Amino acid sequence: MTTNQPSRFPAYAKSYLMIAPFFILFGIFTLGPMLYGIAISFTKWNGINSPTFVGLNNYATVIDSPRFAKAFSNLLLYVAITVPFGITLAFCVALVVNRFKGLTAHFFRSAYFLPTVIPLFLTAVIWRWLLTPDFGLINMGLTLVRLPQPNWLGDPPYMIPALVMADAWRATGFNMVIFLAGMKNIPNEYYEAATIDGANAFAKIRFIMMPALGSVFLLVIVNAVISALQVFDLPWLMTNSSFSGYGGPLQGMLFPVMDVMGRGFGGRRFGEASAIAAILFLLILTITIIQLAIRRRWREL
Amino acid sequence: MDARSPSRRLSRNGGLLRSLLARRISVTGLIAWSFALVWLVVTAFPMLWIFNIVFSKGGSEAALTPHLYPTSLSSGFLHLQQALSQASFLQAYLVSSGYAVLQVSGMLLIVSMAAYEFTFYSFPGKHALFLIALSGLMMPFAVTLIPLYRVVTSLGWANSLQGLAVPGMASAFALFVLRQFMESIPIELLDAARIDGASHFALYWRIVLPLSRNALITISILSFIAAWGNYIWPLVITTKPEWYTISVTMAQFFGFQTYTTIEVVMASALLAAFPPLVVYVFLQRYIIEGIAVAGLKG
Repeated sequence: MTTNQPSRFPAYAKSYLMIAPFFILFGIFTLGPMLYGIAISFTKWNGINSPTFVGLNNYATVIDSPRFAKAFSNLLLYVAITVPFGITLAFCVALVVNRFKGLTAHFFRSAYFLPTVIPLFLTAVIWRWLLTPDFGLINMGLTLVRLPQPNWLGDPPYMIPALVMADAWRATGFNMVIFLAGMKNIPNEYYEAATIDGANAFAKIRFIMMPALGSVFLLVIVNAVISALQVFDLPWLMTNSSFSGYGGPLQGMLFPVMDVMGRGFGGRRFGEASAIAAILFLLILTITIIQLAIRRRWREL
Repeated sequence: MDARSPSRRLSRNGGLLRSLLARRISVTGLIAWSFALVWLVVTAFPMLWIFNIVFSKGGSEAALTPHLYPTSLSSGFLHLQQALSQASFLQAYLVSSGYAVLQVSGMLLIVSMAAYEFTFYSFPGKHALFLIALSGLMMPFAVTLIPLYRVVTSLGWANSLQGLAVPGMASAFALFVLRQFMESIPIELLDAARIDGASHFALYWRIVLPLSRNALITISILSFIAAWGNYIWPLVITTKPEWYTISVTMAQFFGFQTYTTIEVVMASALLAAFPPLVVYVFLQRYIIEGIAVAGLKG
């Protein structure tokens, strides 16, 4: 305590005053709702009458419902494809941009980042059009190489791959920037030493760059998983969903957050909706804790 | 430089193939360039395509086939004009602007005040409070959605600017980025100003805020782009069409799939995406640096 504040008490008071606006809003609009949401998940509530306590009933109802099973199996499949695909793509793009220098690097980096700043509704529109069965650009391309033309947004087995493509288009620029920043932090001497030892370009990537980027990979993967678990805007807009009907044909693009919205604001069953949200939160919390544990272990090594 | 000298010697001795090798037009280089160009087409073409649809005569279903270049400047401006003459579109533009500006300015003020205290002062409970704030980073928005809706409607803020903007102001992400940045401001500057008689608040307003300019710009841009494109929260909290944001309005335009006026719909989309695009084109340095800093230290 070597601060040269004249007296302690007034300084503390000022500090609390200055952080108060943040914490008041944070309490009302983030922390409060978080706890309140868990409370709602134990009640039956239609949004109008006052909630009545029903214990774990909502969880039982939700877990028994086929819609929940469909939403979570879709989610599992989506996470399992989009995370490795998206991150591999972003890493390759970053590798390529990292090879270039000066204006060339700057140009490609700017262009690749562009899809990230485009509002999501526009991304959804773009992809709905690219994926249109008869006139869509992707199917026209497939015709050229004599491959079958799937009905991307109408035929359930193709719907999740369609979403993966759209998401990769949108998210690659963001992860690329994080990878690039990590690559810049690797000291040049490492590569020089490897060159002297006769390592080729691929060996340098595999044995120098990738190990050095360990913590960056962890961060990007965890972020990707957490945001994939909450996927909402793109599938909602790509399937032209509304509160009364969502998820697309045969619920091929139904995901838990969409079900939260549908059961809550469509079906006025806020208790059930909150139960799904709480299950999702538990998943995300678990992943965050695992991430923190891995980091701690790395720091100890 | 040393690594290059053997190859330079090579090219002096030999023919075309050797000099090509010396210039390192290598297999990896070829792969890199072809990959870079393919990905460039993938990322840039859709936007170009929308632009070309707007700037073409159109009016037929053939609008769905790819337009490789703009064909009619005058019909482009006509389409933009038609897009702007839709009453609901202009109203939504206004609502989105108000929402984004209010959220960004509120966020800047309360987050910078908190970041200043957390960076330069110690007070009881500081560490615990900062951890609580950081826990906001891992609270998924989708999970707080329903209770947040309940809180905001019971305040009477449904269908209002404050209902749209205020819940997003206490951003844990912005607090984190700003604190990271403020750590790099030398404390001697503050001490010197304090000796000259600057008050607690004057230090914040006259010294720390101006020095944090870059970080403030970064979080403003990121928060502006996020607010402008936000879809889920406006969808929930606005029930009256006059309070629909641009994202909700555009989602409705596309829901109806009116192919005959597709040029006008696309012109609306282009105009709707304009503010974040302009911000990106002129201020991208801040965005990219901000993401890199927040990402690597996160």
